[in-house]
Amino acid sequence: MREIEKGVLLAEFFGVDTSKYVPSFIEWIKKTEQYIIFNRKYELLKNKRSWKARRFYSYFESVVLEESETIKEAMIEYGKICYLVKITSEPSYINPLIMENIDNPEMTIGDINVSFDGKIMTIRELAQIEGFTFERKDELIKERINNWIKEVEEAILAPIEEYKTYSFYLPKIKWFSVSRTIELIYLVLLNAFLAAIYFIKIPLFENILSDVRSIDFFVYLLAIGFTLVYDLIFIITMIVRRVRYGYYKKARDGVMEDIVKEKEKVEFKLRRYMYAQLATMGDMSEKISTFTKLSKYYPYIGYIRKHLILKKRIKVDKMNVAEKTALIVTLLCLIALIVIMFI
Amino acid sequence: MFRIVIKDKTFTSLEEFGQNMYLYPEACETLLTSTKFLKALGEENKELLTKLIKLNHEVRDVNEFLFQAQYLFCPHMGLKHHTYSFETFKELGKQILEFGPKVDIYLKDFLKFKLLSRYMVDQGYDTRKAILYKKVLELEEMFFENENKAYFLLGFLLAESDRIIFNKKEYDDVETFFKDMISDFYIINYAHNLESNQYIYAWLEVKGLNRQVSKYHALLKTIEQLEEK
Repeated sequence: MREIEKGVLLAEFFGVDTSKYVPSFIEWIKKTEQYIIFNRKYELLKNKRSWKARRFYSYFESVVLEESETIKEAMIEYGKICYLVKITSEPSYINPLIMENIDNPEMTIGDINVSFDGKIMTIRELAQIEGFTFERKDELIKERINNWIKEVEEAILAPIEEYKTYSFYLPKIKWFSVSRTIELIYLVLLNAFLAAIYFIKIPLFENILSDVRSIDFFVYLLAIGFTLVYDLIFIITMIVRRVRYGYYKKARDGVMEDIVKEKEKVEFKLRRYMYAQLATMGDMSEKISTFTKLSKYYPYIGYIRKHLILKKRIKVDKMNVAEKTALIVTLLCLIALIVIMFI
Repeated sequence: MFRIVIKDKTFTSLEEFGQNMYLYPEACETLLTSTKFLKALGEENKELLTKLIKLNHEVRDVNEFLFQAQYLFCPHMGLKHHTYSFETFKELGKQILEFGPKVDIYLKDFLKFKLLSRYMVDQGYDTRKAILYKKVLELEEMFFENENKAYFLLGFLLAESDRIIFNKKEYDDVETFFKDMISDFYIINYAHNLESNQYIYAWLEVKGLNRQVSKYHALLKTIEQLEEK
């Protein structure tokens, strides 16, 4: 801090209006290393989902430096900035079970910060510190793991569970129905028939192709045109449906069971590892990425949310208006062609 | 006849010499430790010589030595030290404040070497009753924790004043004072010297405003601790 602001602050304590010094103080704060780091951490925290990270983010949001009207207010905001810079680091808010986008991919379990005996230290230091019983250390580690598990349940399991309790709970919807099969057969036969007219040399078909200026040929061309359009509509419809169905299926297919199994597996692994390390005063050097398995389920929340919107669009597999129109038109063309052939 | 000559001044008695020693501190420093003087003093007054030698052994600092020595030669006179002469304590207090915010290193000696309390005792103060004497003792103790603050508090105490004289201007009202201090003309100097000279803090204490000062310091301390990397 500069001497000027200290002097001005003292004057402020005795009722002097110091507002003219506030803007330059704010400008000075913005050039400090602490402020630069503060902004960097603020950006990083935006994308973090752990409880602690979100809590820290809310603290960062509460800093309102620009709104300071007195030196004292600006100083307090500056103090907040310095404090948050000190206490906010990935090791202090990481949940190793669901951490995404770890800033330091080499981070180990031992690098995570804990509060023990009134001090902040790493889990490695905790494991290796002397003068404390194993039971005391283990109690803290157990509590920490329990909190991480609770967070997994809140962040991933509960939202998925919640969506599953909605009244339109994930029914089974077919991607490809029986009527769709009939439609496909119809399209295949139609395409085959039109191709046969061109490639197979029989008098019945040759009559249609003999005169390119005749109505027969014109009807044939129309039939091909509308059939191709129908083919395109069908293919596009199936692609879109397949993509939507993919999301839907992921949301539906026992995702909850997967997550619970995975959670139990990784929890067991973590507890066993940390217990063993603590007992031998080990260095807790296992990388966090070994345990960050559950963050892959975050998108599932999105899938389920999407399916609630998509379900209306997917619905039961049946023909849409474009397909129906194309079917009628191609059917008419086909009838016309057959009539022409036999007249 | 006993004669002492310093610069262009001749003193014909030890008493007269003692009364004027404060005006010639450097010369007296050399004189009082010279063999010639000590020999002459011994012939004039053996008891005084013994006291002077004893004093020289007991006291390390030359200014403290000169202060006490002058009262050996002239026991009953006003407060004098290193070119300063005060007939009353109030004069000393006023001088301290008039110099403010600058600190005079020789006036500081009154607390540093406990010269003022010693003077009070030597001059026959009834130290059991005197409130002033007790306060001076407190400030002598405080001096080792916060020299400058104790020094200025002494100034306010002796001058019996709660007005600050800052850069030759006198203030009674705190807000008016600070308004001036943070004006463009004074602010750099004021802010730069605030902590080091302690004058303002002493004045605020005299004004009974320690609570606000404590809150101010508490806030600053917190911020500075948080600033540390």
